[in-house]
Amino acid sequence: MSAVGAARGIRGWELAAGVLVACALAARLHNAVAFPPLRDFDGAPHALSVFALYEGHLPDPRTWAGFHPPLYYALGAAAWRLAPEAIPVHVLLRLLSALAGFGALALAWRTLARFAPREDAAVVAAVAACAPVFALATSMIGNETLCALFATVALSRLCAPPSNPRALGRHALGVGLLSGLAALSKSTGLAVIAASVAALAWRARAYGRPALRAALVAGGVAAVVCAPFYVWLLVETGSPRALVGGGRPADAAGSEMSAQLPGERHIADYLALPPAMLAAPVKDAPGMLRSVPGLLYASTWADGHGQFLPARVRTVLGAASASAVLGLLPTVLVTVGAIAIARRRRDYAWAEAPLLFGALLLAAFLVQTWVVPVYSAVKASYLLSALLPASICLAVGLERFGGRARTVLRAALLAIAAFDAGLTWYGWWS
Amino acid sequence: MTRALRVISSLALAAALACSAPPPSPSDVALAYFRDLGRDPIRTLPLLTRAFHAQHGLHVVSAAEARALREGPESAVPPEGGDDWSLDRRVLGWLEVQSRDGFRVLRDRLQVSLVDASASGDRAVVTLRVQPGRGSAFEQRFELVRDGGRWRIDGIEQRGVGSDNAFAAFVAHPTEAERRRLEHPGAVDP
Repeated sequence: MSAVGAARGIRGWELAAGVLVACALAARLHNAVAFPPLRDFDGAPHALSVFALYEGHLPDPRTWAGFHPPLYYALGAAAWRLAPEAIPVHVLLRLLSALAGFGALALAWRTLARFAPREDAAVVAAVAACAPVFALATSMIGNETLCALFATVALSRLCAPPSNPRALGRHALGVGLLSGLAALSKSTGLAVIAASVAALAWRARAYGRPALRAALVAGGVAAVVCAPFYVWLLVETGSPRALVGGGRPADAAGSEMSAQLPGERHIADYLALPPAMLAAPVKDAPGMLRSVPGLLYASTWADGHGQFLPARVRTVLGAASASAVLGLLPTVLVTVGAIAIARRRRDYAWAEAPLLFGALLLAAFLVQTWVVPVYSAVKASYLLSALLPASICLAVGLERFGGRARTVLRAALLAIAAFDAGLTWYGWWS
Repeated sequence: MTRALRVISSLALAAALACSAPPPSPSDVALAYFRDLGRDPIRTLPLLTRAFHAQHGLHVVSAAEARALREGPESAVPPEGGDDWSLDRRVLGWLEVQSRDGFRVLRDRLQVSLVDASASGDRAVVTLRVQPGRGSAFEQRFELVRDGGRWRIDGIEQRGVGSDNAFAAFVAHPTEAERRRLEHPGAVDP
């Protein structure tokens, strides 16, 4: 193919992916208004935290969502103060989620386009933008997308460190600030700090002592940004469990979590793959409450927790099931990519920080599902900050195929993205 | 850098303008209550005092408490209508009731007009006439107090509520007692 033809081909894939991302963005704007008020995951508790900051004080850490770090709520309160009264506050908060999520997506796309073929980067961005887990998180009130934004900026910077060791200090300053902001958005961000510091320290092989100093700088700056909140939280609650706690009224007797199923975990829960994860991808379907991979998968490629799509409507359940079946392709490609990276780590040295973060987050997620053995702890949105590592794995998975197969795969992925964009347009069933 | 400064100064100007608006009067607050009810539930929160949330009695229960209630009357849950509920339970209950199916539709059928407003010191009373889509009109009397430099609704009373406008009255002022009464079979259909 000539250079002109190749460039046209790249632009064609980018255009198609860009149209799908634009459709996804339009769907989020629609959802922000059309989705009924406070039906979001923990919508009212999040609103309570925003109101506390609107009134000028920190949320009570003993309340439902009061244990979360305050950055998202502070930005929400500021938007409430500044925006016209005609825009409902819950719409503002959803738009904040969407803005942060699409910011993260744009950065992941840009980073990927520097290291992978631009066509693949574009296709991966479209798949991510339309995947139900991303679509629902960017349609709802919540702090996950803000954490994903800062995580993606920090990890993107770590993919392209300065070649001059003297510039490492400034680089580390930025990484520390961004990872600290990620932790000030959601406790998931603490893993961003850990991965950033580890990745900078690991560079001591090439850079020597300046890399170790950079790791210290990044960790120190991140601590300055987020430690005051976490120290306050620990002092106020007297328990490290408060980092992931909450989920009940301040004066509730007993733990909210103790009432949820399954109530205890077994190794088999991590191996069970119930047919319902494809046939009826909702938590109430047979075997789903217990299966960690099943519910994780259903909340990635459908609405596993039934918060957004009315699963009682037969057409909706059918469409969610189709999305889950279609999701097998990107899931397999991500797995193929992860295996390829594990086998040829040197080829992907540029991606070691995001990949380390992805592994850390996945490990923390699995530990959490064991320690807190309830279905509400198995939500794919908890892994949303791993947008960049997941995108890298999908791009590498695509890379494993050449020629016509790759073209077919790209087209299939865009078709899946188009289907998911329609599935997550709120109210299409009515 | 210049562009960043321009954006920051614009935001500061917008914030200054927002803060310099005249403080809402008691009748503004009562009308804002109806404007935001069901349409913009979060924006109702600064209009209300803690005492108001104690009055409506709505509250959420945790899953553990819901299970205890299902299993029998001997539960660890504080008694209904008691003053023991934490404020966050009541505020969450207030927000949740507005997200119920049909609440917004019923609210949109209410037409509200100002009947009377008076203020004395840090207390004020505003009366509104509420006309439902179906059924007879009723009056809603707001008691307001000046709290933290702004008027907030401290309590609500209704007059002229009967079987033909009970659902409309509940939407205009949702309370736990009325919610329970309307749940009983035989309550008038909206």
